Amino acid sequence: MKNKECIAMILAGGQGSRLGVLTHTLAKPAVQFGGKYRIIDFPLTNCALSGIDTVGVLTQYKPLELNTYIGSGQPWDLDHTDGGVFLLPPYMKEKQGEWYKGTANAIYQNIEFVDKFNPKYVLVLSGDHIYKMNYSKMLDFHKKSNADCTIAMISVPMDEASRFGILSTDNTGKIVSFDEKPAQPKSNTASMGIYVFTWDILRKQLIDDESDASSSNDFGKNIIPHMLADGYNMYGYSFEGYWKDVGTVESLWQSNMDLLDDDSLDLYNEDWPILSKSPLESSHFLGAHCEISNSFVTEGCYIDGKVDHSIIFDGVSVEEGAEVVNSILMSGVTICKGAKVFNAIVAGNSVVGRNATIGLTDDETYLSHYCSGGVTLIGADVEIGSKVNIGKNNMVTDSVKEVK
Amino acid sequence: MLDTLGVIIACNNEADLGELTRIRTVSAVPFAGRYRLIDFILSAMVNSGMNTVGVATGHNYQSLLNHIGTGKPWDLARKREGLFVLPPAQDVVLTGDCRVAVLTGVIRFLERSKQHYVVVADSNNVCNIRFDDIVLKHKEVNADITVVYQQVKNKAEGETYVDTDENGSIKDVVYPTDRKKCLNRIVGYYVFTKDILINILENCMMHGRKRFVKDVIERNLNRLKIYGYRFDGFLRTVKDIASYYDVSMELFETSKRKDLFMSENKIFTKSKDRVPTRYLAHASIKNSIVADGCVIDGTVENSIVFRGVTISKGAEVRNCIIMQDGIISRKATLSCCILDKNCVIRENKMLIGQQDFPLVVNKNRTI
Repeated sequence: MKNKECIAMILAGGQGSRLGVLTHTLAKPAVQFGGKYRIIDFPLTNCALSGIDTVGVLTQYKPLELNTYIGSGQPWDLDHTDGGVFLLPPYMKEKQGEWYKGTANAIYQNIEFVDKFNPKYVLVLSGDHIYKMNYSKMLDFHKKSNADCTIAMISVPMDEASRFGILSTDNTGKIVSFDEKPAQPKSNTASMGIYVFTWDILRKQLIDDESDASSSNDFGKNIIPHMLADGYNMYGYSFEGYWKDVGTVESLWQSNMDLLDDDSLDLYNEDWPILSKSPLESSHFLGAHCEISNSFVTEGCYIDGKVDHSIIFDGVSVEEGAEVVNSILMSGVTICKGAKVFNAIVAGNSVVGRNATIGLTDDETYLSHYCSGGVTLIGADVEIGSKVNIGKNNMVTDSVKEVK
Repeated sequence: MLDTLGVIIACNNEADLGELTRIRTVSAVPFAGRYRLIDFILSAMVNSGMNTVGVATGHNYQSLLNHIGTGKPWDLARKREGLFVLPPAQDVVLTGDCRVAVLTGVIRFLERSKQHYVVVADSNNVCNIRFDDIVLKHKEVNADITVVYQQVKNKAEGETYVDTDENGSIKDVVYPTDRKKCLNRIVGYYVFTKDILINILENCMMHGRKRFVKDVIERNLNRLKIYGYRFDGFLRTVKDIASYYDVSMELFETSKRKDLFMSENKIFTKSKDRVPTRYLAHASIKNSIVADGCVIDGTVENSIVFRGVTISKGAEVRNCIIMQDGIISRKATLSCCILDKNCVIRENKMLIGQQDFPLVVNKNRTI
């Protein structure tokens, strides 16, 4: 195997439990986003376009859909003869196997995999962030600063800062302090969970960390603070642009809506297109009664109703007289005649029956702590019977019978 | 179907789409927002379980090659078998009915292949067909040649028809000028037992015979077992601008669109990974087909809009076909037009064609 300068390891094993029914059957990186993408498309595309041709994807929680989706890596041009994309689930060892205990442990368990490519640097990424980034620039920065570890950082709103790892750097960019999820954040400069490590150094850190029984084997909680305390050369790399960790139902809904209102993610930039697996459907058809505005529509859709300010995935039908506003309809959803869907996420292949209403009333039958901000969530493969009324902030996981 | 080889005749034959085929061969003409005509026959062969397909080209095949590449979108990029591109063996420009010339050019490909049967197909039909049933019938009756036909309402110039008996055996080939009433139009799909095809082609070469239906089919009616197979699905042959425009407009009928694109047999094509199409505040769209990557803020009715087209606020597009990356500026008005790729229509311009005579704008043109 040829030695690689840099390979990427994408942490894609998380459940994303705050996304409720959306992650009941699939891992968070496989959740659909933006009309034709899945979240994992963003880091995979960034790797491919940054010239990183060897990518390990660490999976653990319900990986079936993610594995099927990634396949050979061809949609991202990552099907290389020497390198490519590798799915890395936990596996049995001689004596026993164990799950990935934390983000650092996941890489630790794959030291042999990384060693096979003998890279000088390793890029550690999260599989559940939405952003466009040229990692080669960050790698250049890492080399130029002669760093052992470089952490990408971004300014976040002050009131959200306690959700992140908060950094401060001196005027050369060198990190002087790091607090993981501090109760009282000192600044709003947050770690994006994107790290470049010099592999020799990370390798040793992982082994040391593993032998520490009290460690939770996590990059943010253990590896980074330890390295900083031990005086390693650690730098912050400032990133400007759109970046979002879509943790909750409301933030997933909001970041989809962001696409319609401003183009800070720059989806239309043809120099950095987001690559994805195409659903292979025909062009969409807009019928004689269609009224559509401020929306995204993709292949295989049939729209004959009213759609405003919504994201419509492939193969969706919106029948005559139906109304869809401020909503996200994922692949294969059908909205039957006369149904109204407001401020909702409807997951794949669900059907909203005739004259049913979603997200219009304060009905609390399916009220859920997963939903907030008036966003209603309908799970995948659910059938909402005709005339059923589902209120705001409700989450529906199973089919609901029609109202006679 | 692993015993059946596909040969697609990707030259123009008698088809002529004016400006649209000046820069590309008819099989590479864009269609229905995101396809090229050759996608239909390539997908049909793959959906029928065939894993070896030769694409025999005429001249002017650069655009076609860009599209089919290694055959990956059709799952034909294989270690064993797969897609074979067969450019013309001789440096001759093939015009008119060039099927015999193209096939004799690829006779070594036929000889070398392991399959016993060959589907020979034109590349300018719009349909969703499966050949496994047809080949099965071909084997059942132990035929030498099976000719696929469809029933039409009227005879038309340039077409040929076959008269069959009650067993499906072809008795006669009928031409539009013949008095005989026969409306079984040959659609350009044939199944041959391979050795028979090679034998016929060698004979044609020896005697300088060049006309496909006359010399390959009609001349052998008494000598070989030639059967007809009636295809009842939606099938249109694109041979000129009028037929291209008409079949495009037929796609607005839901039953026909379903027949073509929504069956379990998908039509595969090269994907461009364009972003979803974005409709802005002033968009008004009725009865139209739109591909990905467009930005639409104007009025569109009864039109086909390809990938990456921009239609600005106040622009009006009716009964049009706008190919990839076209830009229709503010307050431009278009009716019954076909715009080839990369056309720009500037503000306030007006282009009006007729339903039976659409206006064609050539590639990269700014008006």
